[in-house]
Amino acid sequence: MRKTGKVMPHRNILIFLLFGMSCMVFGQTKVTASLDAKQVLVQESFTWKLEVVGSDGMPNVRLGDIDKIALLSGPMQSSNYTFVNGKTSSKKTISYTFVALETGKVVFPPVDVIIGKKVFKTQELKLEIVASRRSNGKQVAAKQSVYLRAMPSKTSVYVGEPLTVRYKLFTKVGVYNYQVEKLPDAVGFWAEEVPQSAQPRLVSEVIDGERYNTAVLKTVLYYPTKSGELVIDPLNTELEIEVKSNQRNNRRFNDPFFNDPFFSGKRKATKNFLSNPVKINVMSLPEPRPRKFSGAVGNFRIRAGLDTNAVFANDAVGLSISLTGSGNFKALQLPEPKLPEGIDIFKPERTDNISIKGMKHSGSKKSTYLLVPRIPGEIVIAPIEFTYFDLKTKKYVTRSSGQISMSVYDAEGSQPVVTSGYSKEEVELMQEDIRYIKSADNHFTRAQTSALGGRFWIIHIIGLLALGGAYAYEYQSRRLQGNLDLRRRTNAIKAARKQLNKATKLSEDSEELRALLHQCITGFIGARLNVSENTLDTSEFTELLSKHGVPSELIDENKAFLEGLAMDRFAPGAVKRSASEWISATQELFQKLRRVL
Amino acid sequence: MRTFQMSILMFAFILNSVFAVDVEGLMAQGNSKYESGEFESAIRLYEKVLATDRVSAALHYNLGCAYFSEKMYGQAILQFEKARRLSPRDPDVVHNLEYSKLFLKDRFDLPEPMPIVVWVRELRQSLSLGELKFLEEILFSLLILGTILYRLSGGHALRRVVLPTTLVTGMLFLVMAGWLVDRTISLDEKHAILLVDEAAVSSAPIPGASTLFVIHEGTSAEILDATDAWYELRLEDGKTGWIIHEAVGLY
Repeated sequence: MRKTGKVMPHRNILIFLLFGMSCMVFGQTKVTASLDAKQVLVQESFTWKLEVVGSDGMPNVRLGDIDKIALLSGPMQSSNYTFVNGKTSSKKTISYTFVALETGKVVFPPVDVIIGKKVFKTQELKLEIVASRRSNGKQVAAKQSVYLRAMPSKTSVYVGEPLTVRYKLFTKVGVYNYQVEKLPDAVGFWAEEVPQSAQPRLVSEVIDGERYNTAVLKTVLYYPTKSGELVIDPLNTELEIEVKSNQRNNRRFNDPFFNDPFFSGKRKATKNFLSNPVKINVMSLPEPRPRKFSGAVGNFRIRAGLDTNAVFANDAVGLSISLTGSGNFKALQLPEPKLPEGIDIFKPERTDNISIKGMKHSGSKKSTYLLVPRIPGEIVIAPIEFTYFDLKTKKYVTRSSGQISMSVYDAEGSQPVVTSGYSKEEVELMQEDIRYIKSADNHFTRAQTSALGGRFWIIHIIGLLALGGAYAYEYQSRRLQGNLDLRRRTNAIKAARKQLNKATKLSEDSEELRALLHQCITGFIGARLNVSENTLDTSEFTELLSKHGVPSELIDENKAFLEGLAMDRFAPGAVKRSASEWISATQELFQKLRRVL
Repeated sequence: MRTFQMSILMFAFILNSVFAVDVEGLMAQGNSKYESGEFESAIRLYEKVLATDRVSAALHYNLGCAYFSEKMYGQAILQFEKARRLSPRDPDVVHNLEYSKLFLKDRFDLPEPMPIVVWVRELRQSLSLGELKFLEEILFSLLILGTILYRLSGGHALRRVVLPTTLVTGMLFLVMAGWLVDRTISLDEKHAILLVDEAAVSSAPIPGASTLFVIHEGTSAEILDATDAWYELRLEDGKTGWIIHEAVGLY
């Protein structure tokens, strides 16, 4: 008790120290947000950084959307631990890289930083984006040796009207690859890249008196899907370009020979390039819109027709509707035919054949329906109409396919027509109709349950019981058999000895004594070899013993003994041997047999 | 006491027969409405019969025909499938089922399976639950008999005949028992058919989960899993996703 009393204060001090230290660590947690620039040019990138000192957990930050800038990359996280004079300090950094899109003042609002359960607030940050010194469109880029520009084909379009943006690289130095991995984000547009060869053609151009090599890296077709002022984000890509090596500055001698490009120490470097963003003014389509207008913009023609104009009832006939022209094919759907009564229509087979030609999508869209007229007569299918907005005339245009008619004849046994999309069996099935109801069948049963029924279980239980019974019977009989044999075998020596003793005790020389001796030997052999000795004669004993690998001398001895004994029993006087002689001979033989069996 | 027992028996009998007449009467009314082209009333009457615990292949078949005439292909296919469950080899049922499937909007172009696969699948489909049960019982009895004979025949020449026969019987028994277990365990909840025009199949059983694909009326699918409000489906082409209970009918 005294001891613990002494220890306790130390422990308290320790706890106090630990607690105090942790408080200090907590108190030291410091959160700072910073920008690496106060003023940036349009298209320049800058970094917003959050530093957390003295906290173990990675902070949780959410930066909201901020106007006039776009996120380039981030968040990048890094941790830093230092030990100075036994003190640990940790610093965690999260940074985002942005690009300035337009001139103006940008305010980074205070950000809530969650560390563990505590919330810290950062200070407000301000940034000014200024126009580049040359704001006549060529921008600051013209001074650079490599720059990327986005060149839209037009800046004012209708919803659904395509425009192309060419991303062109201007360079004064060598460029080793022109691969662009990712298309820029364009909210409100549906974009498709115009295919071009992997290695773009280089063209020499003079810009502001300086010669540049230019290459179109990508051409992208944009279809606006909503109206308003939309922005296509800058294309951001890494390119491998030639840069001058730093070694050049350390040159010892300035000889024109060594200033040759061959020696000038140029090397490859991977650099990030950004194009300018593209602003597009998207006009909504003029009102009022026709009722049947479904959003098609371009120039289209519609056609519809039947395989044949004369069919038999229940024959399948193909109705194809095709739309050709150019425009926003991907966004539009073919009109569906309206059929009179008495015709079944099956799911259409659709084929598209659309490609980009002359910076717009053109081609055709086709649906082929299978019709099966059921009733003979003249059938007229209403013209199929398609309404679109024509970009040339700036008006809505409705095109019609013209009226479709066919004669349906009544006939039996007509041959089915096989049309693609369905198997022959299916088309044959189309010739038929649904079969009639069954009115005579009144066979009701109780609603089915998952129960298998009594009979099922009875059969299975009886079966398993029978199987079990059979196994039990087999097992029992085997066991009994095995036991009997074993007992006979283990008792063989005892039984033989008993018989010998019995024979020795017999006072007189008699036939009974010889029978006992015979029984002693044969019984022993029979029990050991698991045979019934009573059915065997002398020669069979010989055979049996040789089969069990008994030495031949012993077999002969045994044979002689048994024969002699038998002769003495059944023909008295033929063998001159006394009872005691027989007993000792038996004992001798028994001992020999015992050793081998 | 005896008369009391008798009267209870009589009452039960009368109740039973009245009930039976009622079902058959409703069915007959439904048939006559169908014959006169009033499919909607026919559907109502057939559905009334279904609401009792009496079923028949003809009832599901007729109801399927009525739904088909109303161009409700999803319901029609569902009813024909149910009729086929009860009466798998009825040519009318099979025909109408195949015919209704022509009107499906979703079609899967799957590679043709091997003939043996098709044959086994058709055999399996063509057996009713009762027949499956009967076959399984016979095979089970033969298997037990064969096993017992084999065990007890010792070194007898009979053994040479019994062994292969029993092995073959055993294999057939396993197949049949598997089919039977599959059929009984999943009697009600194995397949789903879309009953609405169009439905979105979601990536997760929660509202607002993203849509994986859209299926159309009559498309059937295997049910893999279920929650209180959603089923997980596997379509014929192997695509899986979740759909709400209300959109599908089960068979």
